Amino acid sequence: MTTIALDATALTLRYRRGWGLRDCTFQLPAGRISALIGPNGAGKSTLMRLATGLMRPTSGEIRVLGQVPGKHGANRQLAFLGQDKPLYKGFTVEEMLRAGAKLNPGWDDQYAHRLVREADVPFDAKVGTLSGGQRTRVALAVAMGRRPELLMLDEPLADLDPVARQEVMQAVLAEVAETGMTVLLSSHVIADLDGVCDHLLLLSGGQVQLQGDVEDLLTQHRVLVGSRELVLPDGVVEARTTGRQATVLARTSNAPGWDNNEPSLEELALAYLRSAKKVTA
Amino acid sequence: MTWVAWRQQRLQILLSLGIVAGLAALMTFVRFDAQSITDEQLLDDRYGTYINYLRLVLLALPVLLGMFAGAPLFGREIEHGTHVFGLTQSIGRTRWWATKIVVAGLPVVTGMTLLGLLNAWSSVPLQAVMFGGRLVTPTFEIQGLALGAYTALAFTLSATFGLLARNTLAAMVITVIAYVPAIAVVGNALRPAYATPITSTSDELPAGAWIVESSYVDAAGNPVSFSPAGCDTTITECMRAQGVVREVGFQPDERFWSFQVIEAGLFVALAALVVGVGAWALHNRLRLA
Repeated sequence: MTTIALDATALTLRYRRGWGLRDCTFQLPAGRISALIGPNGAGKSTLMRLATGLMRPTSGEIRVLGQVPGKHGANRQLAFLGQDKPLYKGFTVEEMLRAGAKLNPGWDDQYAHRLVREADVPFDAKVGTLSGGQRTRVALAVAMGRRPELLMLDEPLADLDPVARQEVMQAVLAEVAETGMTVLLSSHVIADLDGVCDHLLLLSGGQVQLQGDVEDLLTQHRVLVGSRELVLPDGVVEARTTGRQATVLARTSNAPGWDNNEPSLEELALAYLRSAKKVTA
Repeated sequence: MTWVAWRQQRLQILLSLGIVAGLAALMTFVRFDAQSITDEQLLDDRYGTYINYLRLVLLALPVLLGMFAGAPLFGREIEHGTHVFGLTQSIGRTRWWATKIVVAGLPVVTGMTLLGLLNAWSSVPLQAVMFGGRLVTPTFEIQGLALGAYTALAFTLSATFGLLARNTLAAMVITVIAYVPAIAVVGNALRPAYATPITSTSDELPAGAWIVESSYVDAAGNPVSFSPAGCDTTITECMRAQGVVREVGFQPDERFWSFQVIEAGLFVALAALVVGVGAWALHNRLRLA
């Protein structure tokens, strides 16, 4: 078992027009639930597709559990669930599980069946007839039935209603707690990931804006509220003024004179995303 | 992967094989029925229409069944995004691609090859009422090994273009654009030269001879120009008066099977080339996401 699940060095992917990812260097520790946050078009899906070997980087390198995804396809210990939950529509749920078994040597059939049963999805239903939530649960069962070391979920909650979002999230978390697998979860809705993830990778414009342990990042940053005349501390990420009052997010432990508060994950992420947008704009 | 590919393609495979089986049953019946008829006129009355329609069907069938199996193989999968599922499992890209090609292509190519051989056997009693010999278009194309080889090319073309264009419809259009000229060029430009034609100045050619060239020569065998426009008498008399004879080059009927082998080999080689292009693109060019 490697301690680094994903290891990217100057990872770059150029599309015909523009950049998918630009010079991204980051590490994702094993055994954690990492959030991949960024606005639409930030490069979240690109990053995951590079990790699966579906695409190859223009330059730089990504290592998945220590290995570069090569011509032989994805790392066997990596399970990936794409944004549109690709499953064969004409297959029944049972057949989909059978496909998982046929395509993966380490398949745990009992476990996959249990996950589907827990989701209350009928085994003889055609995949094409399932609701969004059911489909996601089946796709998760097919991904987790492989007993992967690393599970990558690209926007798993998009297109789900609030109840289904919660159920899917709980199902994932329960299994992660039980198996200890590493998870990388992307979303552009930060609220979905708050309280779930313990590691953060923030992407914007194809570049890494922030990365690290969520707890550490939150304690290293402060939301400062005070008069706009106050002296700004070092490490200001973003400062906004409304009338006479200023709201500042800064990488600092304490700023005298200001009203100091630990930011929420959402405040932290949004401040970085907004400041990144200003720089590129 | 074999089971998955089979489960994905089984409807197409079974439908195609059903069509092939239906035609095979018809051909078997025709063989037994036709060989019991000794009267040529009666044979023509009964099977003239059959021969015409069979030609139409069997000319279209290789490209139709080939595309039916090949175009959606990767085209539809990429359109639906399900290739992302197949390519992120524990099997590699090559195995995914190769298994799909074999599972979808082998049944239809084998079926069409057998159908071609069956048609060669079934057509024997009908030879008398067919225009031209077995070597002439479209009789040559619809029997023997050619049928299977054409299917192989149509299938590999549409499968590979589906992979490259990521679209079923585009794969079908490009396949037709590439396939039809291939058949026409081979039939008209290459097939007459598969073997050196036999030359003859005789009026009587062996049955089933395929005339591939024709010229006018003098008594010494040197080519001369002759124009029937300058004749006052019948052309035959006119030619005799000028000492000119018509010399033809023909391919005899007994070369049928060797021509079939050459033609099939040519198309199988083209199909292999197309598969090679697909394999190269799969590894070097394709962003499959």
